[in-house]
Amino acid sequence: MRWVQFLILVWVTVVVQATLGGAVAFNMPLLGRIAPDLLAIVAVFVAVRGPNLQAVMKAAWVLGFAVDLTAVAGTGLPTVVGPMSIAYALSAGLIFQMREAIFGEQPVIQGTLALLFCAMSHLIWITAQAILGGGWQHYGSLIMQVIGISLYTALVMPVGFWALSRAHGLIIDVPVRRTVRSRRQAR
Amino acid sequence: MMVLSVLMALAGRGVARRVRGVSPYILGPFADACMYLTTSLRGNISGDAEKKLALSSRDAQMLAALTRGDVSSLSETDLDRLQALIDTRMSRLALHWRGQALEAEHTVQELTNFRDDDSAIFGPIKDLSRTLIPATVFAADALPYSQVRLLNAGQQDGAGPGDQVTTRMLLTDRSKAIESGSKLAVINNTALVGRLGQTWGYAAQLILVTDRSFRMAAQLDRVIDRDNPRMIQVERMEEVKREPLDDSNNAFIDCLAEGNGSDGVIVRGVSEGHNIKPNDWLVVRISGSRRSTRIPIGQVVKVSADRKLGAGFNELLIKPMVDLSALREVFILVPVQEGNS
Repeated sequence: MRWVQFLILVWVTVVVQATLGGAVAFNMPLLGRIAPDLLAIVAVFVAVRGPNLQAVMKAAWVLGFAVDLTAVAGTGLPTVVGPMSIAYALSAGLIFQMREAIFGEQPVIQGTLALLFCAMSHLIWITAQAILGGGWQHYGSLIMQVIGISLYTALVMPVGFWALSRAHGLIIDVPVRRTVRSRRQAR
Repeated sequence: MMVLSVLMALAGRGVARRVRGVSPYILGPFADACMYLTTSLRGNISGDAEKKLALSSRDAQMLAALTRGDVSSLSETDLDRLQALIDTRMSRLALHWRGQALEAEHTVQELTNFRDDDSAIFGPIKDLSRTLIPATVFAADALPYSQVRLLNAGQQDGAGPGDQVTTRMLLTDRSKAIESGSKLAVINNTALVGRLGQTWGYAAQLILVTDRSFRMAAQLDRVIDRDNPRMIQVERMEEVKREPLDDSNNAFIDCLAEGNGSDGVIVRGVSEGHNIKPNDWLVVRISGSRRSTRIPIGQVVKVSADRKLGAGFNELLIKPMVDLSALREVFILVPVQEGNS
């Protein structure tokens, strides 16, 4: 990983998420207020393209910590710092382990991975916040919101993945691994 | 790194508050520029809905024909369109003037109570016992679970946790917003948008009225329809009577306002006897040393039975008076201490 460039990318993504994210957020009946989790998109990209498990989990931890710092409330009371960095690192580790079993980088696969990552990390986060003092009063509505946010992120994922692929060399210091198709073409 | 996360999570909110103190500075001026774009965009989206109601040249021609009495040149669709336009404008004007009339009535009522001591009414701590601190929204929460904004004013400006926050809409903004050319005079269009949560040196967290954690004592203000007054239950001399609502029995109803986590405010446990209806106001009372001010939060849009308390009680859904997604300039109301003015 090229850590300096990666940290700049995290900073830009956090700023965009905390500001322009509001421009694409909307309220949906039953699901509540939903917006894409742009940091999850970066985390999935790193998990799919990252050089090794350790680097991927470190990068996801940094992304999760950035969310922890800027997600002040949510479950009815001020949230604690820490659960999202753990949730992001674990979810990215899972995606990294799965990537060998999933060939190709088609939009559907990217979207599915984003859905899985987002649902898993956000569920861990809301559960941890509820256990650590946030209470269970809004847990049901928060789960509905997690579903909405995960679906929205999955829809945006192919666009984000395409944009990040353009900057692959800037943030990841190993070349793009060959997909099955490219290997076949090479033969 | 994972151990650090676990330790911070177990350390609780005190540590979280301190650690998060750095986030406003990390986001910085770049966030301010992006937030400007976001609020402008959201403002324009709201504005687009307004534009759909604006008169097109065809509408103007149709209206001119109608004024001349030349109805034969208008089709049935044209007449329906004109009717819809007229209805919308009439309801908007009615709403606007109703609000103005209410405010004027309250002011007269309150001034009358203190007419014996006019000179003592006005002054920095006598009319509104709050200092207004201007602030700008420069970022929002990273996740959409909460309705929280970051403001660029903090403890150094005198702001503290729990301070109320209002809009900063000026006369000119409002006259532009209503209709070009009408130039309706508006005395006050301020609305409460939330209260401060955590505050840091140069930044503060604004919890919007729609956030799940927002709870505030408020009052319901019923609108009097003189042509068709509603019946309410009033307790007089330990006897409950049903009376039409008028100036003599239209008391403010104390209640607890809570954010619903998306785009509204909920008030639970309101007695059916109060007969709250859509378009009634939810207001917050700010006490002064001589007179109190009431700032609106929003208007009732839905009245339904309260499922928790059962028969006899209603739950109200209130729509905030302002478009919170396009919120940018605000005032923080900081209480002024007696002798400190």
